Amino acid sequence: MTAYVVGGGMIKMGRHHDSSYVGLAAPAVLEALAVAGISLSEVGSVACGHSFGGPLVGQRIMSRLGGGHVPVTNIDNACSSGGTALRTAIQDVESGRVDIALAIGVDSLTQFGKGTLPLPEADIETESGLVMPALYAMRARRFLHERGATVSDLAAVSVKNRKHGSINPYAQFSSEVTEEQVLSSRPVADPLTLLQCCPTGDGAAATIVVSEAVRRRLGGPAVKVIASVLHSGEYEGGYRDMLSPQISAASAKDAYEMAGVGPEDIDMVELHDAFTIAELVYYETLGLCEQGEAVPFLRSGATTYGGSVVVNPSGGLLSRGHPVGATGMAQVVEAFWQLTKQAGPRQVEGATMAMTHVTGGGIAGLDHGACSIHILESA
Amino acid sequence: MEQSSQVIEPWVEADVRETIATMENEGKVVGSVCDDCGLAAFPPVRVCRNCQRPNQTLTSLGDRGTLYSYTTVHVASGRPVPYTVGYIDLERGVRILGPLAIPEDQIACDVPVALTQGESGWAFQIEGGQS
Repeated sequence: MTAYVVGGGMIKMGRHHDSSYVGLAAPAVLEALAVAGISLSEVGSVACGHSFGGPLVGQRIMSRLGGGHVPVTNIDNACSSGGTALRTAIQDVESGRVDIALAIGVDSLTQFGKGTLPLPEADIETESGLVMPALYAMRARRFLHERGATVSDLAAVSVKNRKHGSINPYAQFSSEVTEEQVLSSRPVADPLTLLQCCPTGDGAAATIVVSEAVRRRLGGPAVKVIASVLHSGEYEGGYRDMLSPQISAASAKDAYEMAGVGPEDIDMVELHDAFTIAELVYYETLGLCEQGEAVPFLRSGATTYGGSVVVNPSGGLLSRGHPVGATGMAQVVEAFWQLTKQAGPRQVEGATMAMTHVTGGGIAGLDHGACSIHILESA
Repeated sequence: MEQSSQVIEPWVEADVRETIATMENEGKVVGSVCDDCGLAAFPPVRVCRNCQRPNQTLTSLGDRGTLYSYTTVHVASGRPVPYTVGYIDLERGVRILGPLAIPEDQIACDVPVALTQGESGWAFQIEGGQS
């Protein structure tokens, strides 16, 4: 059975010290319900993606809103938690188990203060000093080495995505940046500077996924789910190519097959630009351009407004922010707005097909722990 | 059509901690009541658990209730032991967990209790009793 997204909501991403996980997520859930035009009592199942919220986040959110009784599943898949929660909701609908599923993504990173995300200390590479910026920095170093690219090429990703985010009222950062500002910001793990890294923040997003019958009954704006994919990292102890992450490549291949479409059919992509280098690598991995062509592809303007595929119209992780478990859901809410022509000043003209992509988690010997890709189409 | 022009913000919950303090405001428990369906809640809520509507009015839930159950805690983390707590059924269908200051020979399920200020702060005592 086909699943449709008929409502989405998110809160403004940012540093929300005075809000709990419930306070972050509840307004997003209420908005998603209101947009879809359904009541909480009609929801048949709930999937809540988060990575740092402790036990029973989904139930705590539902208990404050007055929902419950139905199955609530809490999902930790690091940066892919929100994407995985969406997939769970989609599965519930596609299997015919429920007609209406609620998917939530939420996380608070300001609880950790400053610095990098905590990684499991039992991991051998964490013990040896790996932090997420270091992983991406080594990817960047290798990229510059192999491609003859420059730090200016890296910075151009931040410049583009901050420009996109500057007109997104939900973005953590609302200002544009120049290449000089990006390159002169303080080093985090060179060659990556601060303005090439996604910010620390808090956020939440929610979507309503329904069956064909419910979509018809509601009659409002809807997008059709034509691919929903989840992959896990596979251990590869040898000479892993850091510029060609297999977990994302395999996820993209499956997603295109499932949807029966190709990269040329995609009008906009929300992809996992946790750091500048990631966006360049994923242009190639997702098949948006040929291998080795990421820099000229970016420089040609293909991935901004007016280009062939607008990448991260929301501003991406670099601008909208990256509250880990919220990101995958926020991407889908952006896609919902875009495909239902509700994105206002940042509307991608004529967009009828969108891809969302999240991947993350640092484990020794893996590209990443989890990757989730969705392809959505105007209904 | 465009997305809601009003950007959705998170709930700021510093006020949730404040509402727990209002349990001791003038000796009354302060909760909220839904303007639309009448459901009362403690602590006060932003949206009704029954109808999900946002129109909520702060209201006094009084200072009297009935002790539903209780226990004296001898092992806990983060606070000195022993201490006694219980579930108190207030008016309007609201049950709250509160500190008890009731002599051992008077404590029992279903006894009437009242919120009063004693030596160690606000606690529920036997109605009309002495701390």
